[in-house]
Amino acid sequence: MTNMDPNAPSESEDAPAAPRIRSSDLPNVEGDPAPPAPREINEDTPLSSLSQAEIAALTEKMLNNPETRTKLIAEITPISELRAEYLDGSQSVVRQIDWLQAHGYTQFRRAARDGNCFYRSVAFSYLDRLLHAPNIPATVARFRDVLASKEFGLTLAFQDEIYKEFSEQLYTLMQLVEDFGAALTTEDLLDRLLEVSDYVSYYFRLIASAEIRNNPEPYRDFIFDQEIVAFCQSQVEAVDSEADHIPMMALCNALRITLKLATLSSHVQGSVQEVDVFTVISPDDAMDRDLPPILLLFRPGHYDILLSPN
Amino acid sequence: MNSRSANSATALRRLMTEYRQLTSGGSPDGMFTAGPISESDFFTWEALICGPKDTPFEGGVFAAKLAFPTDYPLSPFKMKFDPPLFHPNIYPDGTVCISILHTPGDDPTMYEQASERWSPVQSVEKVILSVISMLAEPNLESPASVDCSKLYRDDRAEYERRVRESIREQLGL
Repeated sequence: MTNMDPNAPSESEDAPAAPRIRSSDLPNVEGDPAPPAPREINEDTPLSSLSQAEIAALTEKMLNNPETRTKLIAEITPISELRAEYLDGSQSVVRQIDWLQAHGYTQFRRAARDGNCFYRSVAFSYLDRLLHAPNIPATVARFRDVLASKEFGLTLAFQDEIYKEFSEQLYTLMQLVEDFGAALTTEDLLDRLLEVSDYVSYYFRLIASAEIRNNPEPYRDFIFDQEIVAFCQSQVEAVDSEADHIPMMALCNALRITLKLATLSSHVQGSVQEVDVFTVISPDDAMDRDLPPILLLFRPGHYDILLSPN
Repeated sequence: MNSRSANSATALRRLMTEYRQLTSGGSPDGMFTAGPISESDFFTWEALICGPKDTPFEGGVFAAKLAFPTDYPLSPFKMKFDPPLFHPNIYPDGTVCISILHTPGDDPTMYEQASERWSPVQSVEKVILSVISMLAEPNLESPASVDCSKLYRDDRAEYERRVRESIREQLGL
């Protein structure tokens, strides 16, 4: 692979010309402020001095950097590293991390903050659980049956079979797990997932969205000021839109999977109890009760992957 | 297999599917045609769009270039009228500014929160239909051509005259 990033916007003539601010029939303004000269931004640049345009340029640079793209899901990291980040911040979060550590949850994987962290983290855990299931072929078959049962609803919600270009990437990975079984390591699986994780993540978005569109009752009361379809289009189907509890519930209901969410909140007073940390989302017809739940670490606005105690 | 080739293979297949559907089904009311310019490059299309009836654009046929990214449909394509069209939501260089071609994170004017955005379940057909309705009803909240937007707002008759004149010029009349 070259260093050229296919997603990087070209600076060619394709870029739209800036609209002309000064209209021909308006008088010229004296002392027109010159645009600020481009400057070098480094570690010492005070953050508060950054303009909107500079922040946007830095964000784009980061998102298009192949180095950061490969860290969509990072290696296993001790959770004490996260704790250190909060020492000068919320002591409530520090106490909850202490609680997690005391109960054996000592490691996590960071997920990239690009709006897909929830779906990508679920995708990884979904596949990694298959890899560690006691009977891999039977478990893959069971998961595949549930996915197949969603296809009618997907066709109903999105005309044609548009979902197939996304679903096949997930099926390929499941086939890989079935074929290689324990010969495949979690890191191998992660590498393969990261090659196509945007597609697999998007397939999970479509499944969540179809679930809400086709069976809106459990979700309707949580959607304010928006039609169901408009909500799905703007909050679920749009690439990079972050997942709140509605698509999270919908995805678990649709896939019949159990999700255990460790929430690091800055509002827990006094000593930390298990109920302050963990929320379990498990549909009545969950089909994965024989496997450890999908475990995510939630901080407002972001999801990472939490590892179970060994 | 690296991610780049996985991306462009998916993009290519999607583009072929869309092209097949457009050629077999045709567009509603025959309002436009679209397809790759050459068989060697499926990532660059040309679209021909008829000016909608009962608008100053009626009678015109407009050519636009569609440039698809290698991760299409995860990212939207770009659309550029060539020659440029005089319209409030078209930049002077011909590039179309419309919410359906922007992802939620990419909002140059911050006026599009409530409008329809790009998502991979959109398609060339849906975008071009949106562009046709944009020709009929400009969106003055996110002007791409400031001069044209001002004219549209302040002197509608002159705006319509200029649009008609530019169509006649393009047709060589």
